[in-house]
Amino acid sequence: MLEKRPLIIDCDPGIDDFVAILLANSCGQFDIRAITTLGGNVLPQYTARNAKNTAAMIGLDCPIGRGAQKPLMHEIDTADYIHGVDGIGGVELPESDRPFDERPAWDIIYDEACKFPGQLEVAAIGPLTNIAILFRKYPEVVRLIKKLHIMGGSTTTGNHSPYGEFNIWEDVLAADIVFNSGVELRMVGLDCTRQGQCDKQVWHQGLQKPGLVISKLREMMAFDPTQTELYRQHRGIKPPKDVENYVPGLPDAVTMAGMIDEDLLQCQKYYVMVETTGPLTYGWTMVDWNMTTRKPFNCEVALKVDTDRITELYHQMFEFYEGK
Amino acid sequence: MQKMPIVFDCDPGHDDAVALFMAVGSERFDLRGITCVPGNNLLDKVSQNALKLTEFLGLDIPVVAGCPKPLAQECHPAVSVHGASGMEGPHLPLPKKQLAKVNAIDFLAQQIREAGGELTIVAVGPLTNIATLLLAYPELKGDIKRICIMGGSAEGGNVTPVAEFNIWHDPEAARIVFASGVPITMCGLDVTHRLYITEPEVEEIRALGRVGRLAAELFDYYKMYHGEGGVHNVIPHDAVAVCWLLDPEMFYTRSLHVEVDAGSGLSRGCTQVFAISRDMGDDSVKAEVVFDGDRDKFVQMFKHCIANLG
Repeated sequence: MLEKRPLIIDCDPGIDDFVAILLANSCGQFDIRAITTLGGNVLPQYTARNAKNTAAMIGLDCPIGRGAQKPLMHEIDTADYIHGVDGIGGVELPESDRPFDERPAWDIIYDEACKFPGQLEVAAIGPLTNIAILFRKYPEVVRLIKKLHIMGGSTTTGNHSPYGEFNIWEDVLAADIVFNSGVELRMVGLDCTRQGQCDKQVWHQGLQKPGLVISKLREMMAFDPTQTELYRQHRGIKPPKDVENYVPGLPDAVTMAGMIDEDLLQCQKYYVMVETTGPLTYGWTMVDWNMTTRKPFNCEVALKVDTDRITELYHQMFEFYEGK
Repeated sequence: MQKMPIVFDCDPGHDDAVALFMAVGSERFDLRGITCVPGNNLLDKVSQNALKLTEFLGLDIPVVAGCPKPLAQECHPAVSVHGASGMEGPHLPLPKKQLAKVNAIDFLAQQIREAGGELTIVAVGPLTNIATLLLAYPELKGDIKRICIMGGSAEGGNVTPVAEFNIWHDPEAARIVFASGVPITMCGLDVTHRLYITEPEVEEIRALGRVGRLAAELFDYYKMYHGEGGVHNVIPHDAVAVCWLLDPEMFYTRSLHVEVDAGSGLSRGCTQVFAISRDMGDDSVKAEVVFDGDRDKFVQMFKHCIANLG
C-alpha cells in the first residue's frame, strides 16, 4: 500500500469547502493532518464551527485550527449572500464537542511542515490570509511545503467583481505575498473550476443515497441563496434554482479533485500577478500568457478539467458515504 | 524609578546605533532584546551589525533576526546613506556572539506577555516585524504599551517627495501597524530634521569616551551624506524616538489620525497626517505625531547618555 500523503486543508467552509473536505476524506489517499480555518465566505466563527462539525460527522479525527479573523489589511467582507450567513445554507450539522486546537492556523501548518519536510501538501481553498501570515512568520516554510494548491483567481473573469474571484479579492495583499513567495504553487481559478461539473445523472443518483453525510449535502444543495433577501441586496432578482436539475459548480471541490487525480486538471506554468490596486481590475490574477514580463514562472495554472474523471471521483465519494 | 521595559526593533544603521547607545546610556530602560529587520541593509548585514553593537556595549541580551523581506516587495538597501555594510565607517570586530535561535515574532510575543502590558516597542526600522507580529498575534494588541516609531513624515519625504524611507520600505506593514489601534508615537522627518547635531557637537561627543568615540566615527561617515552646502550637521533620526520616550515634555506632539498610503500611485509610502477631519469622529485611530523638539536639550541628553557609557 502506498504511504498516505500528508495534507492540510486551509479553508472557510463554505458549501464547496464542505464537499472538498468530503472528497479528501473519502479518496483514501491522504493523511489529513489538520483542517485550518479563517474568515472568508462567512465570518470566522462559522467557518471554524463548520469545519469542526464536518470533520466530526465524517469521522475525521484531526486537529481543527482557527486562523485569521480578517484579511491582512482590510476589514472582512464575506460572501454570505452565496453561502448563507452560517456558511452552509442554514443546514444543521451535528454539533461536535471536540475542542479546537489552540494553536493558530499558521503555527499548525508550520509544525506539520516541519514534521513532513518536502512532503506536506496544502490545499488553500479560502482567502490566503493564513498562508501569508505563515510565510511571513516562518519564511523557511516555503521550502518545506511540497506544493500549495489554491482555489482562487481566474484567468478570465471573476465572481465577486467583474475580474475579482472572491478568495483573491478578499485579501489581495495575502494573495500577492503567496504568488511571490516562491512556493511550489498551483492555481485553480474560476475559469477552470467552472468546467468541472459532475455528470448530472451521477450527481443526482448519488445525492439520493442514504446516510447522514449525504443527507446533509442534499440539504445544502437544496439551499437556494438567490431567493434570500441578502442575495437580492447584492445581486438583484434571479429566478429560483431548479433543484431537480441543478448540478453545482464547486470550485473548492474541483481543486481537491485535482490533487486526488493527477491527470484531472490540465495545467501550464506561467508568471501570474495579483492586481492589488487597479480600480477596475482589483483582485484579478493576471496571467502573463506571452511572457512579456520575462519573469520566471511562479505558478502552475489549471486550465482544463477532465469531466469524466471528476464525475468518477464524485461517484466514488457517494459510494464511500452511502449509509454513513 | 521603575525602568521602562523595551524591545528595540531596528536595522542598524548609523542612527540605529546611536539610538541604541542613547537607550542603554540613559539607564532608564530595561532593554529586553533587539530584533532586526531589513531596511538600511539586508537582514543578515543589519543583524551582524546589531551583534557587533551589543558586543561593543557588553550587553547580554538576545539579538534576533526578523523577517527577511518586506510584506509585499523586495528589499531596497539604503547603500548610499549607510554604505555597503549598513554601518560603514568605524571598524568593529566580528562578533563572537550568535543570533538567538528563536523566531523573532514569537520572541516579541513572549516579551509582550512577560512584561504584562508594560512593554514598549521602539521601532526604528521598517515595520515589517511589527506588522507580522500584529497579524500573527492579534490578541496581544491590547498588551503593547506603545510602539514608538521613527518613520514617516507629515511634510515631505526623503526617498520620494512624500515618502520617508522606513515607511517606503514596507508601506503595507506600516499601514497595518498604524491602523492597529496600538498606541503609537510617530517621530517622523518633521521632528528628526530639526534635531540635528552640529560638527562642533560631534567633536564634544568624540571626547566622551570609547562609546562617544564610536558615535563620532559613525557620524563621520554618516554626515557625508548630510553634508550639503558645507554644513556638516548630522541627523540621528532614530535617536529621536528614544529621546521622546525619555522626555515627551520636550517635544511638540499632536494626537492625529495617520493613514499610510500602500497604493501603487505617486504617494505610495506616504504617511498622510489628518490635521482636521470632519468625518472621522473621535473614535478614529490616532497616533502621537511629533512635530518639533528642543534641540539643545536633545543634544544635551544625547551627550549625557553617551557619557554614562564611558
